[in-house]
Amino acid sequence: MNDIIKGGIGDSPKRTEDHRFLSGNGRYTDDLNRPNQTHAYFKRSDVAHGVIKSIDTKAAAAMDGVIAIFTGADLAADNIGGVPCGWQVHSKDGSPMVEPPHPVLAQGKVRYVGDAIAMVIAETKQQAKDAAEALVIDIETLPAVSTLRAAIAPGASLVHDDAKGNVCYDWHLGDKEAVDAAFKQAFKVATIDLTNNRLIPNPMEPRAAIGEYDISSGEYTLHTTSQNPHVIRLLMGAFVLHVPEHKLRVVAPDVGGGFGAKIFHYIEEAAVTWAASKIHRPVKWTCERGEAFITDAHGRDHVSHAELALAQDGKFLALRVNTYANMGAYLSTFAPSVPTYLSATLLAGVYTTPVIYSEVKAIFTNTVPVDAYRGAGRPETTFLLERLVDIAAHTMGMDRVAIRRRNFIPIDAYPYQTPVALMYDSGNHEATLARCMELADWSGFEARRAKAKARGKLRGIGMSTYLEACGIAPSAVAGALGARAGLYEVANVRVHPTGSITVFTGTHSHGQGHETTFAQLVADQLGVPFESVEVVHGDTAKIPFGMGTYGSRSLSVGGSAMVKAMDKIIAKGKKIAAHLMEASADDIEFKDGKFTVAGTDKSKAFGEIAFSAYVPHNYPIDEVEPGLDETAFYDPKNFTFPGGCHICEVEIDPETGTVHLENFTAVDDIGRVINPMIVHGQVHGGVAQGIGQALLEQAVYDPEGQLLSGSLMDYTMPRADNLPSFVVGTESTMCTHNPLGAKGVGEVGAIGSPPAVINAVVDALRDYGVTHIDMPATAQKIWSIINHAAPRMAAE
Amino acid sequence: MYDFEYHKPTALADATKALGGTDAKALAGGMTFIPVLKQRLAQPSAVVDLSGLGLTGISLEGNSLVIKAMTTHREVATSPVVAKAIPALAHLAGHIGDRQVRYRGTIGGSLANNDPSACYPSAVLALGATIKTTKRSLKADEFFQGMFTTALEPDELITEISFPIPAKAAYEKFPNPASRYATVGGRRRHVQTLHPPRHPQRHQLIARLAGQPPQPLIL
Ligand SMILES: Cc1cc2nc3c(=O)[nH]c(=O)nc-3n(C[C@H](O)[C@H](O)[C@H](O)COP(=O)(O)OP(=O)(O)OC[C@H]3O[C@@H](n4cnc5c(N)ncnc54)[C@H](O)[C@@H]3O)c2cc1C
Repeated sequence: MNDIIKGGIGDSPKRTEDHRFLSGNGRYTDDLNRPNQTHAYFKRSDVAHGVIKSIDTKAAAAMDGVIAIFTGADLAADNIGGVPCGWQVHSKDGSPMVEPPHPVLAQGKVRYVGDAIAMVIAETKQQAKDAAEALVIDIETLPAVSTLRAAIAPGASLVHDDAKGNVCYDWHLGDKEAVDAAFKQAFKVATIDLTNNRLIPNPMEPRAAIGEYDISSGEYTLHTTSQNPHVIRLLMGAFVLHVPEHKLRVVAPDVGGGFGAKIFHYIEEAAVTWAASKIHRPVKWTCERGEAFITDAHGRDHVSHAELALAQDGKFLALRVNTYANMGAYLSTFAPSVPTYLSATLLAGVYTTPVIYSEVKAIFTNTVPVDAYRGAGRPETTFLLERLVDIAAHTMGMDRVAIRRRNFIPIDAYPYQTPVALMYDSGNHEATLARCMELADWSGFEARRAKAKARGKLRGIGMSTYLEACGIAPSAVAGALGARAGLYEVANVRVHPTGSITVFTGTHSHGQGHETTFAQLVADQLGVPFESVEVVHGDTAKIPFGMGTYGSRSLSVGGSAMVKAMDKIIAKGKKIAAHLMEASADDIEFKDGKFTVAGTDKSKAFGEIAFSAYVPHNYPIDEVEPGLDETAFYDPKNFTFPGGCHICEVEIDPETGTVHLENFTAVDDIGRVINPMIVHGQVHGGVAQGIGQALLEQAVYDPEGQLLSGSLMDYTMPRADNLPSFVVGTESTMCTHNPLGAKGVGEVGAIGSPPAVINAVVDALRDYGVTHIDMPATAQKIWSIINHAAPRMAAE
Repeated sequence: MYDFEYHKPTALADATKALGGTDAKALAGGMTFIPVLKQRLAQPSAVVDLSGLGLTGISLEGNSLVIKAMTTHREVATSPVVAKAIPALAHLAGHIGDRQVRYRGTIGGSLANNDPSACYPSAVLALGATIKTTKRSLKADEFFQGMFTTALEPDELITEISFPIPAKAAYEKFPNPASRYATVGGRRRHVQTLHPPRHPQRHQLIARLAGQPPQPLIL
């Protein structure tokens, strides 16, 4: 592409949106108040499993300010459906997954602490809360299963009667026989048993929703904290409320972080929208932090056993993986896809492992539903693979870097067909490895280790060389794998008469800086100033359609849709320019914001063409319509495959077991970079989350299903003083199948970093005979290892 | 939060009067009490704000360091008087929670609350401090009665704490990574060997404390 122009591709203008965010002028859902608004409060189950014997609303209904109290029975009477699951996985035997209904308000049973039993609507939130306390609810408690191990134990209590053994599905991928045969040839086998710790997302802005119903038009409006308003409209309208799209508007205004947790269609969204039509007043609900801990979908929570067959020269011969994945009490919107199509399909990683077999059992438990969380499946696979590769090096007595290099997919093998369905289009693993090792001064490490030792500290270094898949696609393939939606993206580029531009995108920005990045993209391609491009997202009434933002898809899919729409703008502009300059459209070139007759100095500025399009006095009216406003739907040909290398260096204080991060270096290959500053910001945030998972975060349930880590005083989110200054670099091998060459950067940080951290911790502890330590690597676990006590399993 | 009456008295007598009778509670920095109210874990009929009583200040009285109940952690942490008299106490106060907590939280509130993982109770115990209330003077071991329980009566307020100045003292804690409260904490006085920080006993201190019942004790 062109040289970097101000505000164009490759430049780092400050983020347009930050002024309003940093000056307190963001407009989040909770900032909105509708005339005549009421407040909802959800009465939730405080037991993990039980039969609802009775709900007596009488006393509560008579309290001050109470407008209505609804229970599951009211919704059932109104034929309101449950919230649907958006992805269907089939078991090995071809049977569809067990898909129990997920009612908006509990019907008959409660299945986790936080399950909503009743919705109380009052004039104020205080009054709604007071009345909720006055509800008399009789629940007969049933035994609960709060962990994977408890749920699969023989005779375990069933979360859903039709899910025998609490199994949702028993899925597999790959060639079992070929893998078994390869294992027979193995020189050595490296094995690992690990838990991918359960995480609680905690975006800064808690969820919120306001439902409205216009009695004169019959239109519903939902303002909600969503990453994908069109998806919510589709799921809620079609499956829950039975309201057609043209009568339902979903708006996701400013949203303060999502990390996956705001992809899903939650019951509260449906409840407030439905209730608004019953009471003919707007209904607002804002989640409290403690409520968020027990209602926002959690992340990860896999238990895996994996084996890697190795040849004498260290080549990987075959990989076998067996995973149990916790679904929680109900299937959240995309939950079934996470341990299967978003995890197992990446088990080749950056390596040429010729045969791979993976089995996944998805399990119901009496816990909050578990679904995609930043990285969704790829962090789980990357952690398993990159830990296993370190163990393989140890098993073989090989250097950790050498064994990786021996097994890298060579650059000339691209495009590369893996044995687990995916076809990688591009990558250069040696380049990211070499650059990262140089930036991290890998070769100088032993000297630093010796120095640390002299200070009484245990120093370790670890790396991960990863590859991940973004922008699930194409729609036809996703559909064949079980997605119940298309996965294209939509852009509408509206050029105004004076040449300023509004871009409507079906993706959604909840911190990523799209208003800046997309404006740069459009400014660069159409040669207009960055400041004259406005990006609009998050409103189904304004944007033709869209699938939203997750899976690092916004630029690679959404940006590509913009490029397609701009291609149409330019093609139309050429026809107008040809008419104005009395030339043939084939002879018109468009560059740097000018339409030029090739080989002449005759040209028209972009703004002149826009003006002509809207004031078509001298205009090719027989050939083209007035106006300059184009929409494109872009369905990608393939996933994109970012990859890279992360290196972490730690020091452990053997007296306390505390891990101190000394350095963290990330070199990611994300294809085309639009705004390097924003890209670095995304990597920083992702790495911080990955470090949180590796060292600090752990959702803990007690055997009765009570969440013990239910507040920020108990659940450790990473803070600035837990983190070193990151060294971040990018390498760009372009994606070969989208017009931008973009791959995606939203999740790489959270995917590549956890194994790098744990590999470093294990390296630091190498004198203690440790080959693996589960996340989070807390001081307590490490202190126990150092003191030869068995580490306690925090997840049990 | 439930509804309650709010009082902000300017005289101690009015404060204790407001606390007597019904189900009233004192409010100091609110760092513990406000979250309790917000989560509806307490339903006081009235909240008596102590910030109008002039109960702040740090002074030397003879061989004792006297800190008034409403003195914030930040004031203790940055006080030159404390730094000179009992530097370990300044260090302790400077490592409570985070900056926001240190600007609001008070020594009186911390002691009245007697959270087993809080820092001040162990200092009071180990340094043999005296807690002065609106009714009496209490030695540390009379004052603390177990987890979250003290000898304070409902209408009794801590007014100041008097620490005899030790020859030497040190405080070490192993912070909980989430709350930054002490997971285990220990304080010693009259011990010569605690500095420099890499002392062999720290490890033992923590190990011994880890097995102990959740209340401050002297090693
Ligand atoms: C995030 C966080 C981290 C923290 N970390 C630590 C830590 O590392 N170490 C630590 O020690 N503490 C920690 N704390 C607690 C902090 O020190 C609080 O300030 C303290 O627990 C209570 O003090 P307060 O002034 O806020 O009292 P309040 O919350 O206002 O009151 C607490 C209780 O004491 C009573 N009370 C208050 N003052 C008096 C008085 N003068 N006489 C009688 N009763 C009174 C109140 O009625 C109430 O019951 C932390 C708190 C938070 C929120």
